[in-house]
Amino acid sequence: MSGAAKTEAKPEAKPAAALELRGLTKHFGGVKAVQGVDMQVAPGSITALIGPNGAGKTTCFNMITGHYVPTAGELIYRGRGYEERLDGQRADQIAQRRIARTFQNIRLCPEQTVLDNVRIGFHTRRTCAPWQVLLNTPAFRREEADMIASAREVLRFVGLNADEEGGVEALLADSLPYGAKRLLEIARAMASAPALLLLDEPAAGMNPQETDVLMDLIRKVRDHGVTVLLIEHDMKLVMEISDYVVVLDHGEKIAEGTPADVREDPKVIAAYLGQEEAERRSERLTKVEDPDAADQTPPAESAPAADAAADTAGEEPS
Amino acid sequence: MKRETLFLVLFLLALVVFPLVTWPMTLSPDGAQVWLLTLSVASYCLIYLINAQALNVQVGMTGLLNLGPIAFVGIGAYTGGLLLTAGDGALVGFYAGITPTLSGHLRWVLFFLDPNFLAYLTVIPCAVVLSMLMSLLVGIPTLKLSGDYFAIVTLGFAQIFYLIVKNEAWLTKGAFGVKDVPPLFSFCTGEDKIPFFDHTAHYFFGVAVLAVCLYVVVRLRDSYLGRGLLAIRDDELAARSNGVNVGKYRLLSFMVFSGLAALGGIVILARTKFVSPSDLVFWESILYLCCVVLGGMGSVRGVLVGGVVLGALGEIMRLLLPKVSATIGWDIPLQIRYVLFGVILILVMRFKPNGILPVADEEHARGLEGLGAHREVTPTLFTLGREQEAS
Repeated sequence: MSGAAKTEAKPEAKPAAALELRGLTKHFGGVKAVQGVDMQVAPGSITALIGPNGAGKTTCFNMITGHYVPTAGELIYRGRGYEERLDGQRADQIAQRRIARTFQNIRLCPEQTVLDNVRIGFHTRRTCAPWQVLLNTPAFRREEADMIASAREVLRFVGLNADEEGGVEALLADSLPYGAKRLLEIARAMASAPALLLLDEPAAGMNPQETDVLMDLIRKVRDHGVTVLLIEHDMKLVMEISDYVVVLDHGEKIAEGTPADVREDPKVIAAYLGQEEAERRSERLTKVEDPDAADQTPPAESAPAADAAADTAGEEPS
Repeated sequence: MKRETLFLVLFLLALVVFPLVTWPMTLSPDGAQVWLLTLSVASYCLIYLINAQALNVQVGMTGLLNLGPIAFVGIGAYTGGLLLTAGDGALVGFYAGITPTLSGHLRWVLFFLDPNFLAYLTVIPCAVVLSMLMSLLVGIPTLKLSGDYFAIVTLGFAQIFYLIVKNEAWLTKGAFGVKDVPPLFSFCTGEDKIPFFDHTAHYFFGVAVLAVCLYVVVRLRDSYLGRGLLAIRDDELAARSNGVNVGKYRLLSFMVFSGLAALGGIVILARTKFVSPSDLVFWESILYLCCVVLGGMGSVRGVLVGGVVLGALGEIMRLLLPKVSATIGWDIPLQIRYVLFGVILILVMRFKPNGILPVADEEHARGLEGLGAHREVTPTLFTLGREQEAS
């Protein structure tokens, strides 16, 4: 993984994180949904935001994308080559800054065609003024034609068949199977040529095959030069593709680091499986590791947090 | 898209050709009466086509329920009527002074030099701009309101507008309305009028306005502007995340609606040469809404069909019912046609809940094989007010 090398170095030392959360806080009345979260998303990386249900992950996303106004803290974004503050901006203004997102519960326009759904994603990239629309000028017609061509390209990029004959583009978005809807939402986000892509539980409800396809797609998106920040409960996906993982619990950051670091972290295990289990596992690990070399540890045992997290995610659907 | 354009062009062509082809009917006195009646019904229908099409932008495409469209139609009609009658027809007089006096058939060949027509052309932009300003006035404070609340505001605005028009006689001539509005052309009435020209003139004027209306609506819809509106209707949160400034786009749809509705108001004025508070009743608003819902919300073709059905049906029944009553010797009240409207609406909602020509029908027709079962989803009137749940 090319991103792994980058995260070996301390991310704090990097001067230019694509996105930086400084003491981000959101209170809903007395509920402290997110409490002073600091995190950095390295440019060109896949960063995962994990945590048990209700940990404040989606609230963070909603603050980054302008749907919630943070109670306190700063959001610093460098996706356009210079530093700018995101907090206090409206969602559509943030979208103009090349930040795209998908939603936990799919939010497509169900009775519009697949192609039209992708074309909504181009909204921030158009250049024609309303008078050009009204007069149907050549520049506007060219833009529309280009838009259709690149919409098909984006559909092919995410792996949806975009052939004019027999392809999905003329279908209503609602008629697509579930996995394809998820891909279509990513296609819509990719149509805006994002610098930063936020995926909110992209693998939710997908079967293992679909998840594999999705993992390949997320890597492809990263290789395309897009910084990816994702929320996910599927620990296999998180551990396999993330360069960096941040763990939230009860609105606070409890751990961060490479996937390998995070899954050994007792705090993470405690968050997912409770304090006792964390202690037992750490004891067991030290027992196993002490007498012999590390190679005796079975691979499955070396990922207790991952298993635990996968279990809890399975038991309590979000 | 291409098929739709063809449909619209053919529809407009049919409207233009129809009176020309049936022109020979006017040679016999009986035929002339039928011809004039038909034209009158058709031009009445055009008012519904125009206003329903305007309303479709706001209700069908953006999903903002407007219960007071008649207020904006009224603003158009009243602005036009008051300006045209101001100072005993000073505007017409002004144009009469600067245009050559024509006679004979030259008058209609060079119709664009007619002082009345020039006066109408002058008041159209005034009416449209005033109506759009009014929509801003109503729209800006209510931008944050969603669904039902916005509908209530528009309902209230229409009622307030009705009361103002009825009571502020110094400005609006009060309950008697604006009378003696000059006709569309100076040779429509009076001593030296051209026969049949009055009906023909406002009919073709209506067709021209409908053409403008359709052009604007179709252009709007097939652009990023329209896609923004549709996205707001379908999922406001997703629209925001894709860079659509929801407040601005809601205002845009409101302004496009009010501008086109003001044009519809001018068409009413050209037809009746009179406008009074009784034209601004709530019932009219509901009829426009019914055209949109009946035809298929958001569908340009569907709303045309809805307008034809509701617009023509009322007029035709008004003409036919007295004759039927006379034949069977049984007094059928005219109001029975409203009952029929209700029956039609119930039947459509029962058998075609998404309207006669819903958008989904047009769009999903191609290539369905090999993919999951298709389900039609078009917003109905009843899902409009539902608030977006936060994720």
